[in-house]
Amino acid sequence: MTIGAGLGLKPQHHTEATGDRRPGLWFEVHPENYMVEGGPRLAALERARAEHPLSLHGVGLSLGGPDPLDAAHLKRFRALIDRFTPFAVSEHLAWSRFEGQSVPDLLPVLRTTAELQRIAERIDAAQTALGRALLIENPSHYLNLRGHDYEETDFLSELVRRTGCGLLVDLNNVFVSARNIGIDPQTWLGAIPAQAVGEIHLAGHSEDPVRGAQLLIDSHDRPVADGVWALLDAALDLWGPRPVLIERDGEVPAYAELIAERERAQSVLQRERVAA
Amino acid sequence: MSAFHQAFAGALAGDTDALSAWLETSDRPTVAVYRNTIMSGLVEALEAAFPAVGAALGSDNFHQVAAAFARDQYPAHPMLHDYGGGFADWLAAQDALSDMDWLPDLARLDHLRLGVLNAADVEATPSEGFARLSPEALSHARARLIPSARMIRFDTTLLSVWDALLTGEGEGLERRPEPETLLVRRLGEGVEVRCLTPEVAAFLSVCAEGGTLTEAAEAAMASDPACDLTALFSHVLGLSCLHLSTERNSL
Repeated sequence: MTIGAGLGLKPQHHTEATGDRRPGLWFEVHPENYMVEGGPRLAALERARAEHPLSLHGVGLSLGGPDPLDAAHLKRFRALIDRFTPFAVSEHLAWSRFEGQSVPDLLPVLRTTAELQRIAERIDAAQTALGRALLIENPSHYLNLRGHDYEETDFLSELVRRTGCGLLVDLNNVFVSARNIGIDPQTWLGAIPAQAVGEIHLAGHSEDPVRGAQLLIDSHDRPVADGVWALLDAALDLWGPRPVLIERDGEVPAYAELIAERERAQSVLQRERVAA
Repeated sequence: MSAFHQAFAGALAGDTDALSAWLETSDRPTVAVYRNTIMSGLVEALEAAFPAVGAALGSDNFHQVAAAFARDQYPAHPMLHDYGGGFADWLAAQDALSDMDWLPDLARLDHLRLGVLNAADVEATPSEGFARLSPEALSHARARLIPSARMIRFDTTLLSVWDALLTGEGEGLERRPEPETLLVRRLGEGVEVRCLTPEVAAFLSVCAEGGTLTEAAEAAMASDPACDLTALFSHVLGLSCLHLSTERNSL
């Protein structure tokens, strides 16, 4: 089956999603939400997987973090990979774990030469433990940090070269970062190695309640913005068709509303383009 | 931990100058985006995991209490559905909540419900499985609680309060000073909580601790010398919560 446009699978949509047979549809989940011993949550994912391709999108490996990689977490992650045979497994260029504790966020890494080496080694170790290559996602940026040795695109490209990982490009994160720290999204897209891109994410963002449009938040709680849809067109012109995912984590609407966004992504994917 | 990681952790904890080597002064307040995301994620996770505590406190109060707990205890791992194992004990240690001294027990029951929902899939042995054993084998057999069936005991009644809070009926909010043992078990895609009679609780407690069915029966008789063991055993099997383990088939 061709992998087209997919949806982040929400528990309240399990039944409708499982029964939806439209071509190219696939689903993605955070593996952390399914790291349970048993019960209805895993059973529902089994049913969805029986009908659709699945991607596992991790948020807890903390590849850029200071703590050693969590062997127990890698083992749980590997068990899910073995059980659900996802077509893609992804994580983030970020960190979320320190001093033996985890936080539900994706904290920024400092893109130094030393960190490049260290994070490459951690990606390599994670890929070995998981038994497959990871796609690494670009995070949203809110801070103009000093001290980077690398542009983000160069850092990601070098991680690809050193570890054999692929990339998951989140276009909403590119859009949000462009507004927040002043990168040029078209330049950013053009500097990404096309052959490494294994998946594209789209999501909605919101304005900071205090600073308004000056600071965009990667909130995943509303439909994809027009500017992000425009980036999808530009990205597919550069890279050709790739699996595209609509992410929604807050203010989750009815399945019909989400699938309508997915249909828009599917139609963008199917548009004829000049060969990349 | 690198200086950058350490500084960022400090900034998350509220030290806005910690990142001065990496951030312009004007950018430092923006660290609040990360702080807010973390806090809202943790509070949301606790709200989902502790519905009865949430109903008892009301939404605004619960958010304040949950945020205070989250500041004290970050999760030990990234599975947020399992966050809050220490919430009950933390609640018990809060002087400001001492007039709601039943909150910790509500939290314990909420947390157990979630544990049962996500427990391993082990089938209970059907009645026929017990019936196939000879009387001799049955008396020496052990039957453990399956992972999706667990017991919890309180010194004061709780189930009526828990039920009333979750259904929003507002009845039964008085706890009676009587011990109560509850069986929390997964049924289909949900969880059932039921109160056990003292003799059934005694029987299942011995099973849960690995005793033989004879020892479980003795405990039931000690709890209620007049109890009908045949009826009790039939009732217990009807709960579909035991997995038979013989010497050749241990759990």
